[in-house]
Amino acid sequence: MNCQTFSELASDIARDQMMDAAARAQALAHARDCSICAAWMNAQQHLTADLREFVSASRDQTASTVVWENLSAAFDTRAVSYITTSRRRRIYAAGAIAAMLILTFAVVGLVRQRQSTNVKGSIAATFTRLPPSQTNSESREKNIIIEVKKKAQVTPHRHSVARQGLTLEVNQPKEIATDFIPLTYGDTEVGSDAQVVRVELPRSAMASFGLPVNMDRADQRVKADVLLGADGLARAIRFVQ
Amino acid sequence: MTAAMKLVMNASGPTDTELIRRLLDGDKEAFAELYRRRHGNIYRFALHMTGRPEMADDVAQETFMVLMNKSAAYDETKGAVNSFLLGIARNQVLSRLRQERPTVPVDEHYEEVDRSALMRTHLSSFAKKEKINAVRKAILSLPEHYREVVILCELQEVSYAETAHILNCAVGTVRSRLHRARAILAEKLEPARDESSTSDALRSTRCFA
Repeated sequence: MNCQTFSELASDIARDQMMDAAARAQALAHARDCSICAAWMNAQQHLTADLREFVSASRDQTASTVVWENLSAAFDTRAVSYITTSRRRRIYAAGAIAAMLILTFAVVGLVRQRQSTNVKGSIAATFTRLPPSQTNSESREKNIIIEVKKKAQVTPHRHSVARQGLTLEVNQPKEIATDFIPLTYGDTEVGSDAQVVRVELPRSAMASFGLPVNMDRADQRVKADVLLGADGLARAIRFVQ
Repeated sequence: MTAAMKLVMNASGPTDTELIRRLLDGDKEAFAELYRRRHGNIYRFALHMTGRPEMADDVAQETFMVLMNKSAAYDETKGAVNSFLLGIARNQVLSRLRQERPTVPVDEHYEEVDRSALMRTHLSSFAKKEKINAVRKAILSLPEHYREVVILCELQEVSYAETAHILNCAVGTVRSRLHRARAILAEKLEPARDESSTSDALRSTRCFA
């Protein structure tokens, strides 16, 4: 080991730092042979002792109590402002949520009101209630068919709806619809809450209602309007092209 | 985890990182505990760097103010809370020293403060106090980049890696700066040591006379 390498290790040896045991042994051996490096090592060991003494002498030095008092006061002030800010934010958030809820309820109420008005209008335009004396289902079917033929023009469903003020698109291509065909099950009486629902069926389903079907296109789908009663059961159906 | 380990953990209390998390939730007790644990290191670092107790107070206060307001900036993956605080304190010290450098030479201040105290001390403790004062002055006379390495590695016993993190430099740089700083210190303290040994020799001569 030369003096340069020794001087690099001397500090760590003097400070009792963890180091390679072999390197430490070589350095100490070099210090025994080299008087200059031995003096250097001695000075470093003295310095370490002086520094440790200095550390132990200054160990009790701490900040004055005023520092903590200031910090404590600052913390309390900060906590108060934090609480105020968070409370204000909570109030704003609650107000915003309340406003959103009011707006949502208003919109939903308006839409429902308009829907029921339109359905009532369309039902009134399409169907008339049967007299309660008629109990025979066949005669009721006939009556419905007659009434439907009288009232329901072969006009596009959407256009008729649009005329009555529903929010459907006006610029739709013109549709041709069959008459409403009463379904054999269920009551033919239609309440004021009845709804017309647009569905798609296999074209072959038209055959079950006695309508002619082109068998070449039997796998295609066809649109239909289903009239649902207030109980959710289908009352009548019409096919739309 | 065994019951004994749990007991040991409970006895040692929450870690600094846990205290920081609680501080983020506005827990004043956590802040007080962190202050109690760490303010001594911060104050002494500032005191050794500046040599002025009132400035060290200011630095300690400002460091913990930063901790209070910006504790979210602490990232436990980057180092210990002590290193985080020492980093803040170092920035505070350096900015204050740069602002106030032209006004007060730091080592003279210490000399004035300690001389009157030294005069009142018992003769047996005189040499010790003198040596401590010499060490203090020698540290204060070091250039800042050597002084901070000596204070962190020698006086605060911070590892090379943590010191490198605090000073934002390589570990090798810390080692070389410490090596150079120790060489300067040894050189500065050598005459004092000789003087001290001479006075010891004189005292012993006087005793034998």
